[in-house]
Amino acid sequence: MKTLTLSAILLGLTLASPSQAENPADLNDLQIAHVAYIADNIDIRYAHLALAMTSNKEVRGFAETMIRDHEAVNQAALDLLAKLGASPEDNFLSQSLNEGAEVIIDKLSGLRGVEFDLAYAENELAYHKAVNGLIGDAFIPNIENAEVKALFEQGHKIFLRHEQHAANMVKALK
Amino acid sequence: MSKPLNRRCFLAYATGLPVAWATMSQGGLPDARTHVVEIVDLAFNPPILNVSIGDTVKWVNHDLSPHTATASDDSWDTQELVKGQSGEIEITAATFPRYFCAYHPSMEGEFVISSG
Ligand SMILES: [Cu+2]
Repeated sequence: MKTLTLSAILLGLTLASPSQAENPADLNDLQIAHVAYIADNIDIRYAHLALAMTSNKEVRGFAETMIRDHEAVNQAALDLLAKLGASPEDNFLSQSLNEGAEVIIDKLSGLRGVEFDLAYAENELAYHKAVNGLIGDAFIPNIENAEVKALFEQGHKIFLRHEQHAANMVKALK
Repeated sequence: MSKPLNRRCFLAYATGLPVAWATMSQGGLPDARTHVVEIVDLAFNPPILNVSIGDTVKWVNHDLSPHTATASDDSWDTQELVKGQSGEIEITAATFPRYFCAYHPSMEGEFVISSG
């Protein structure tokens, strides 16, 4: 529960009133798939912003990897949903993620040079940490469909590596 | 080359099971082997490979994410391997023995090259 709360804050979620039972662990498979798709696309947007803003070779390489990997995971998710004949369902968490991303993109867009690079790297670290917490603590234990669960387990391994990569990038930029 | 050996090669490929090695005959070089490195869960398996000059090393990517096998000194490169794709190099006396994934730099592998 502690991890979930921390994740919620890092993702920029507005904290719902206690009476509202909006808990990521309560989402169904199709809502979880929607969150993952949105979360992938947000990181792809951050990466495109970084490619437009940075002149640092490491940061550029990292952003290119984010686009390549998150697009691959999204494509696999779309293929699986098509095979299952299902469509992802919009939900409170997807919406909160998108709202949080708008704020962060606004903030990052105002920065230049090494200031941008460090802020982008720190956000990538925090974002992957938060999303990995969600996937590991709230999503994987609750996904019912075995194929969807397997896909999330693969994605989780990739995103944990991204988190480690982002941590190294932050260290190098400081 | 004896039949049982060939069948073992065929099975190793046909079943797609992780195999650290496969003994295959190569035209003109009767002792040359093809070694298979499986890329699974963002790791090269096996990470250390004993090879001889004239052997071929083949990487097969089983991950969702694209990877490369790239010499640490940039002297050779499989280029991008998407899921299900493979790439190979031939080992020479000059082959640089350490490599990594250009997309995920913490993925590393190496060869121990003998002149056999
Ligand atoms: Cu890689």
